[in-house]
Amino acid sequence: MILQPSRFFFSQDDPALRPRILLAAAAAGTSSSSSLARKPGHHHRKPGGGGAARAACRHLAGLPLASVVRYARADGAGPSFSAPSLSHGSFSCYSAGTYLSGALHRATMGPLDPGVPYSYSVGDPERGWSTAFNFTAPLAPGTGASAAPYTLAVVGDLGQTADSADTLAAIVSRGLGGPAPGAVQSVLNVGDLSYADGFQDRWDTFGRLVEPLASRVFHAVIEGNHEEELAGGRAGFLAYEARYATPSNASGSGTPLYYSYDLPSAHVAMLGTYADWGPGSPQRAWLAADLAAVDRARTPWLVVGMHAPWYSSNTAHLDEVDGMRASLEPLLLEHGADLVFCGHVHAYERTHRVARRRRHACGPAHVVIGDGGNREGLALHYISPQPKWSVYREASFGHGALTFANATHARWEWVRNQDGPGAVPGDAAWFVRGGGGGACSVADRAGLVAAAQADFVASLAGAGLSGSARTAGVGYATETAAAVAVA
Amino acid sequence: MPVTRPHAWVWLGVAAAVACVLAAGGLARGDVAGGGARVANGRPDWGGWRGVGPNPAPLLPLSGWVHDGQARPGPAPPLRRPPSPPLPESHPALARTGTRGGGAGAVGTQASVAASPHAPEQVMLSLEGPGAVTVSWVTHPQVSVCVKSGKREEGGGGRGGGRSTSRGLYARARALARAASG
Repeated sequence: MILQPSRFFFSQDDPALRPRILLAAAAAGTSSSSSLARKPGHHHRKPGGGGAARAACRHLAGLPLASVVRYARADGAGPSFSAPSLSHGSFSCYSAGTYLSGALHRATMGPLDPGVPYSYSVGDPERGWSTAFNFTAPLAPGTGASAAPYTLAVVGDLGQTADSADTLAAIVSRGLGGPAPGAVQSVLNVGDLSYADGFQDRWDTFGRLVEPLASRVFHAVIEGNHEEELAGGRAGFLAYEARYATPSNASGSGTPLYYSYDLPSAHVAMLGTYADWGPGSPQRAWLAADLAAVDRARTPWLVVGMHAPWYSSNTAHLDEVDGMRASLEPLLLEHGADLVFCGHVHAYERTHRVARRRRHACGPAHVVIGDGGNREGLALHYISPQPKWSVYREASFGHGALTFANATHARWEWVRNQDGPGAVPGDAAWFVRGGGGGACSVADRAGLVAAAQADFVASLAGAGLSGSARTAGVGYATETAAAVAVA
Repeated sequence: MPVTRPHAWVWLGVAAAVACVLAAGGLARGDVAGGGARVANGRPDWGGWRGVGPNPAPLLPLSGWVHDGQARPGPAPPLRRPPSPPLPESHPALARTGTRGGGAGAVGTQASVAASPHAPEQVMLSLEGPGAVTVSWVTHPQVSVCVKSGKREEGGGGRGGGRSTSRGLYARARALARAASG
């Protein structure tokens, strides 16, 4: 067997390979801030970013490494694991200060038979393989309605504390993959992953912490504010972009900062709070095109994941990204998004269907689930009285699980860590598609979308903004006041 | 420029008086956070209100705190439950000890190869597209090369660089390149 040579993600001729690297980062590394003090969405990163990674990575150049995954059906119907399929991938690396990353390998398995259990191991035929892992190949989109219920675990702001480990253990205790009812099929992580905050070794420890989960079910992540770190004197998502594979190319976004993917019965759009989301931004244009292309007969559910919440009554980060809401909410309303998952606030909260900062049958329900267990602790304080759009709120560590039962019904559960495995969920609800039993008519939705778009235009005009101007905080005062009035 | 007109002195006096009144009013309200900061749920919270008009949160009394719109005596409780610190890197779930994973069919178990810099770790699955799955993992080939060349800097990897210099980085890079070519 002849191995294909691994492809480096950088070029030896890259003029960016200069000794200037990371001296500035060394100076900037003395900052005491755990995350960079910058408003969300205040810079635009071109698709395919990661130039810093390419510039900094040369310490593995020329090493004869291979990135190979071998896999086989685990149900006995295909070739055995002693004669597996092989897929050759590539590796990359990066450096930050004195930290030299390991070789970050990637390889793709496929085409896979949908819904079939597989075994796989990764490594290098010359240097050995990992242990074998099992997973179930994803069902094709459009088959969810006829298949068994599909469970998506949702977690945010995880970190790597004892509470984080409890959260992960609770997810694993549900069962991973396989046909068991309630077994987790994939994970949606809404950002603030490792809380490395520049200590690059902590990305490695986080990777080990989540491996028992991430090696067996699909792990979809989106960037949070703690993913932004200083490297090469610039703030960026160096480690996040280098370490996490996202279907950004398949979804047409071209950047890991926002992308989309399909589950058997749901289309999931992951939005970038820390990529430009203003009018005229690439992200807004991509989202409009992405949502317009969704075939709701094939994937009836439309789910959104992002880091900072649009609807939260916790005093922490209150209305921090209302400009993002004003910019992108009309698109979600127009295309009938069902659920929005967010983190950032270290607590749990679930809303009714909401739009334009109030209850509305045509809007999606929002869930804040930034209670994964990170080292910053819980956000205990909520505004009072509880707004009418807020259904349930509690500051406890935990995780959520969304089970798509069929094309119209999905079961949501939020489980506290302290309750232990198998406990009654701290919060539970059935989500019903179609505006809560048909309460949202076509005319209602059209009127809502028009009103939301008018809100956005008015907020831009009121702030003297236009075109691609940044919009953080636009409409903040008026809309907060509206929320208080409704409450 | 010297003030020569008598009415200018009058206006200066009025301005000073107004400033004194405003400052006194701020102190009386307990605005100790500077600039007349309001308090929401027991803490100065500019983050909750940046708009025009009055802050809907009640003002902080001279002593005590506010919760659910009611003034409470005594010191405010901590904003958050005491957070738990990050697990130490030596924790079994975080250390590179080869205790994770498991399953049949492996040529070598992770435990048996964990000491090798080429032992895969941090294995993660992500969706690539229809019918395809991307698996990512990490190996540490640079460790063995650096150890052999005696160039490894213990404790490297501080925040954003810490006390890093590019000399150490490139010394290791050269060592790696030599090992690769040799």
